[in-house]
Formats: sequence, C-alpha cells, structure tokens
Amino acid sequence: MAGLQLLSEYGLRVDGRRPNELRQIRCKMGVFSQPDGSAYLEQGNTKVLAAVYGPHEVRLNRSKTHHDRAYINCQFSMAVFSTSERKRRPRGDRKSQEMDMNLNQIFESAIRTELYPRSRIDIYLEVLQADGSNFSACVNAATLALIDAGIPLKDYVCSCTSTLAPSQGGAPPTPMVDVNHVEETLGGPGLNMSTLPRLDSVVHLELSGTRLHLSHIDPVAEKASTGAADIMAVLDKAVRGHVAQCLHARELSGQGADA
Amino acid sequence: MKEPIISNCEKAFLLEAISESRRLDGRGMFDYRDLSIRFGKDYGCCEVSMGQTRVLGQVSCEIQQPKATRPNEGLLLINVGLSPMGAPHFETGRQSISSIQLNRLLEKCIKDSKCIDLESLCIVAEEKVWCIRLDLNILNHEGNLIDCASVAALAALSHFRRPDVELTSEGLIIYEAAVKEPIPLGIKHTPICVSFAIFNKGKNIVVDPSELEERVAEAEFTLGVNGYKELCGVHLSGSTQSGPTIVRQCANKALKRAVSVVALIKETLAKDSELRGSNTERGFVECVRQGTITSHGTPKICLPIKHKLPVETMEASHEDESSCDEVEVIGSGTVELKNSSVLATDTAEQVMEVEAKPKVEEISLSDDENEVQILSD
Repeated sequence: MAGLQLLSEYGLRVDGRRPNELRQIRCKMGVFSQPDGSAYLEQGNTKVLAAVYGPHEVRLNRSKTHHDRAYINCQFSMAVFSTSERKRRPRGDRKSQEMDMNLNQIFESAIRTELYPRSRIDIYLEVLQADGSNFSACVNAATLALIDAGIPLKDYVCSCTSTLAPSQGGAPPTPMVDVNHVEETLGGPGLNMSTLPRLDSVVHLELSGTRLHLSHIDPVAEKASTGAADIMAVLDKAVRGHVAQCLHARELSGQGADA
Repeated sequence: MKEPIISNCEKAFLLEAISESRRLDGRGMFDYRDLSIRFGKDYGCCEVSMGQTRVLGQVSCEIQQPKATRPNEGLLLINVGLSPMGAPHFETGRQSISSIQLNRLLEKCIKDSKCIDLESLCIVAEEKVWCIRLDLNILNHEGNLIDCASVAALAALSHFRRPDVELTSEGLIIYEAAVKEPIPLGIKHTPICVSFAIFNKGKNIVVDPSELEERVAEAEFTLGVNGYKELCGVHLSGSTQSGPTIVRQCANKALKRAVSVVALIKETLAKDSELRGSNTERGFVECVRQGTITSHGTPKICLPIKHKLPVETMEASHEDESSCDEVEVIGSGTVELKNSSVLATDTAEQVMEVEAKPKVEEISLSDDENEVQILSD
C-alpha cells in the first residue's frame, strides 16, 4: 500500500468522499421479534445489529440492582467473519470489555434510568462487517434499538469518529469525518465522540491510534461533533419513517383497534 | 465488598462547596496534591504517591518469541493490579470496570502512542526479543489512580535497565549487571495522564480529584499529554454539557502539569543515579525509617474559614461545645471559632475538622494534636 494517500490532490479520500462527507447510512428498526427493541444499521460497509431487552427484573445477580435506577448491561461482540482475517475471540478480551464499559457509561448517561428502579436493561450489539467506525456504528444502532423498545432517552445518542489527514505540500492537515477501515489502520489519530446533539452534551470522548498535536484538537473535535449532529438528522428521519409505517400498517390491519 | 454508598448530604455538601470554588481538603480548584517519587534498590522499581494515593511500579524483562505480525519488535506488557489492599471494594479477579479502564488507558497512552522504542529490543528477528513487563500495584486509593499510575509507569520505565546481550556463534550470552553495565530503555516521548473532574454541567472543573470528588462528579475527563504538546489519549466518561470546548480548556492545564511532572521524574532519576554512584544506602530503606512510605498522617477534611458568612445559630449547637470557648455555627457545615486567644496567634484562617452534617450537633476532634490544642484553648 505504498503511496496510498488518505487525501488525494483533488481533495478526495480513498473511497471518493470529501473530508466532510459521511458514508451512506441505511437503517431498519424492529428487525427481530424476540427482543423488545432491535435495529440494523449500515454505515457505508460497516454493518451492525442491535437488540435491546428491557426493562425487566434482575434475576440472576441481585447484587447488581440499584434501588433508584435501572442497571444497564451492554455487550459488544464482533462476529468472527466481520474482519478480513477470522477473529479469534468475538467477545471477552480486553478491548471488547473496554467497549462494553464505554457503552455502559454512554447509555447510563443517556437513558432515563431513574424511571425504572430495580430493573435491568440489556443491550446486545453484533458487528457483522467491520469497515471502520465500529464503535460509532454500534452506538447509533443501539440508540435506534432503544427507541424501538420504547425506552425513554434524554436525546438521540449519536457517535462519530474523525481523523486528521497528514499535511500535504504545505497545506495544513485536514480533519476528516467518519473514518473507514483503511483510514483507521493507516495510522493517524481517531477521535471518537458520542454526543446528545440537541442538548449539546458530550457523553463520551476517546482518542485512539497515534498521537494528535494539541493545536489540531479543535478542528478534529468540531468535525466529529458536526458529524454526530448530521447523523442525528438521518436517524431522526428513519425513526419517523418507521413510526409512520407502523401506524399505517396498524390502520390497514384493523380499524386502528388498540390492543 | 460493595463500594460504600455516599450519603445525599455528603454529595450535596461537596457540590455546594465546589460551586463556591472550595474543595473539601482545602486545595484550590487547580491545585495538585504533593507528588513524590521514590525509587527502590532494583532498577525499574518505583513508588509514587499523590497525596494519599499510592502506586508501586515494577518493570521486569525476559526473552521471548515475538508476535507473528511484528517480528522485529519487542513486546511491552502493562498490567495494573487492583488488590483489596488499595480499597475494600477492589476484587482480585481483575474484571471490574475501573481495572479495565485503568489498564486500557495506560495501554493507549504508553503502548499505542509508541513511547518505548520496541525495535531496539529485538535480538534475533522472528526468534528472540525482549519482553518488557510493567506491573503496577495500587497500594492505596484516594482518588486519581490514573494520574498516579501513569507517573509510576513512566518513572519505572525510565529507571529500568535491561541486561546487555551479545549474539555469538555459540549462542546468546546475557551479561550480568556486574560484568557489563545494563542498558536503559529507549524512551521516545514522555506521556503523562492528567485527570479532571467536572461538576455543575461543565461550569466547575477540578484538577486531581480525590476519591469522594471522583464519585460525585458528573463526568471525569482524562488527558494523556507528552512534552511535545501531543495528545496520547483522551477519555471522557459521564456526561457534560460543555461540548467540544472542554478539551481545549483542559488541554493547556494538562500540558503544564505534564511538563512539571516530567521534570520531577528526571530530577529524581538524577538524584537516584548519584546515590547509586556514591554507593550510599538507597531504596525504600530511608523511607521506611522516616515513616513516609507506610504512614497515613494528614487529616481528611479541612475547611479553611476565610470570611464570615451570615450568622445563623443552630439550636442544638451550644450544648456540646463545652470544650471550646465560643463557637458560632454559620450556615450548614461551617463553623467559626471565636476564641480570641487563638485569633491573636498566627492563623489568619482557622482550619478545623467538621463532619459533614446539615445540623452541627457535635464537632469531632481529629487525631491531629494541633487541632485538639486549638479547640481546648
């Protein structure tokens, strides 16, 4: 891959996008019948499934019950066929545990847990194809699944990863939004930001990859933040479309009779 | 054991104090606790304490086969061990959230940012490389474990020396320290983690949080910075409403702190090598004698009373204060000593230990002798 530039001289990235373009997002809610809420999200080639169970009684581990709020349990798993080389440990290794922990913290801040004391909400995520921004796609899919389950949230939780293309020919380095696999692995820092866009609140911030100079932090963070806001617009449209469809289907099936 | 629950009045008291820019231990909002670094007898052993938080770091090395994907590089393993010695709610089965967070953050800061030159640890490509193992043990948890652990990690790695090796036709010879001088590791840059606790929807940011502050904070923000103004790791947990600007606000402070910490590490390293050269006693022996390594002496909560607040005397307060001359309770949780003899002496501010209760029914005396003297005057 010698000579592969993250940003060509025409200002195009490796997959033909401009630095401020998101990948195409396709999503579907209510894909499974067993979980209370489920969603399927595609962000470019990254494909994620999310399933939500809850709120329900804490059965096995009574010590995990909180008297005043719900206990959130997230499990992040990558399918063994999701990466180019077969993944040996889909979950349970340190990196996955860290993702679990981050997801827990994000959704504890975003879900209105005080409405469900002594209960438990489980969120299961499965990455079917990993093409960069896996964590962000998971957060977005989980948001949709939670909305499908009817669990009250403070706001949409939208997540986006941005990076910095190295400077070329004297130009300052350009921040790029929504990284794909090539951009992630070729080095360069990856700033992952999860926000509640309407409340202008940051719930999670993480820097991975190589080092990032302090002077470049602002443009990269700004890019991630606007990326998340743009993703919210897409998710919002999808949710409204899904609800309209459900209502329409219900009307068609039986005089709008409420069960 | 479960983490002890913080009472609502403790939480409310702390939040109220922070909104007035006061901290429970009397520090300013941007004051750090005392940082001290002590090196042990062996190379690569160091103990770092930030206030009462103590972390012990030890670096060791052995020869192993390298990873298949990187045959020219040595291995660096970082492990943070949380034992119940540090805090009663730590479990030895290394599965808890805080242990994962610590481990991953340190890995990101030190391993992923390529702080150690791993290629120089290669002896024979694809066969033998040095595997450097850094083990950190939390000895006492009084808040801000990440900072303390990162300083311990960097100090231990900077202090460590690996044996010199030579590849001959017969095989690999590893020289003992007495035969050939051991070689230090190649450190490319010096990353240090600095933590901030965020309160009141991003309005109050506090540096070097204590354990109580950490648990009550709405968000905790850790930045890994190095001397070249580069960010090696960023981690925000919780939810804060200040948006992306929080990074810039904290980054400059973190940078200053990182620079001063690295300077302290270098200074301590220089002193240690002097001591080793002059063949005097070194290591933890002196610290044990002076009682600085095993003792726990500072009072926990000190409230400096700097100015008078509107006086509201409480009903039950006066009966129990027979040991003090005149104490007037001002608001909830603050007390002013009106003893004229004490005022006449040096203190412009009287530091007292007060239990955080909304109604002051009794004043608890600390174990510190000075405090007892002031109260009984």
